[in-house]
Amino acid sequence: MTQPINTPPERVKRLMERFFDGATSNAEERELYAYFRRPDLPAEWLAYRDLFAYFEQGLTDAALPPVAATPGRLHRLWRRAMAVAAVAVALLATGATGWHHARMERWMHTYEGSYRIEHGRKITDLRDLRPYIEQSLASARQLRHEARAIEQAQARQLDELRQSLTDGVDDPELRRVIEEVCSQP
Amino acid sequence: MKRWLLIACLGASLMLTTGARAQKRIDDVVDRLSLIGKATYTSTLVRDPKTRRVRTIVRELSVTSAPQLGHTLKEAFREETKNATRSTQKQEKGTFQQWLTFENKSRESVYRLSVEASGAAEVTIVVKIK
Repeated sequence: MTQPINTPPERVKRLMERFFDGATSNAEERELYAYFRRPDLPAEWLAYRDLFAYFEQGLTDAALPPVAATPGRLHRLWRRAMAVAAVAVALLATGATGWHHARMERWMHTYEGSYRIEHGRKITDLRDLRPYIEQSLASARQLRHEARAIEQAQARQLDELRQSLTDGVDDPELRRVIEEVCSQP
Repeated sequence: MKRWLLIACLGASLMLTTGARAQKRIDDVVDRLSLIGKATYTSTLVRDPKTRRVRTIVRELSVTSAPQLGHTLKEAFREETKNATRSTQKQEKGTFQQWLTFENKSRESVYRLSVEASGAAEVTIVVKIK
């Protein structure tokens, strides 16, 4: 008789590999099902709990004639394909969650210390601040753009002034002085 | 000799203080107004996520229909114009706008004030730390 509570993690890994290869015996599969049913399942295996519950249901449900009538090899192949698909979905979900978490973490680190005061009430929670931070960044982009435009306009004005002041001036020393005065600060 | 040295030191420290105080008047007014009921204020720090060093600070203050506050802000901007690297202003359809830029070894800042005829005012400040 199996003792799922005492199944060491190494054995669980080995059994899972054999299971997904379709090489496990009925006794081994029962051991796996029992293991994944335990309430204190380690966090690393939680993603597989529903998957094994699904297989266990399929195996014990004798009222399903098509499954009972399926030849052994076809049944194993079908089960393997389902397992691969389920693992792929679980991995994708885990990956997407991890990616989202990392992205949020990076965002929090980038804007840490930001705050908003709205009619005397201070907001410091970065999740609540997100729309305001985005709006501030848009304003900053706009303001930098305006500052560049002002700089360019003033440079053009200085250039025009230099042109008009030096027009007709033959003395090179006077030209140099005018150009120096009209040069950019 | 000691006297001259003391005067030189005082002069140097005054120059340094003046440099550090550039645009401080506006910052002080913005800080004070941010706490009043008629204002909304957002301070955004943009950090380098790896080093946590602050790279950019964006501050936005808006006050609604309070002509006196708009006047206070205008006055602060006017006083800082002489310290600015660049300054420009315009009056268009009842809205007064002024831009000031400051630049020193450690930072580059752009300040914009916008005061509407209704008295609503808005200040946007972007400080880029070098």
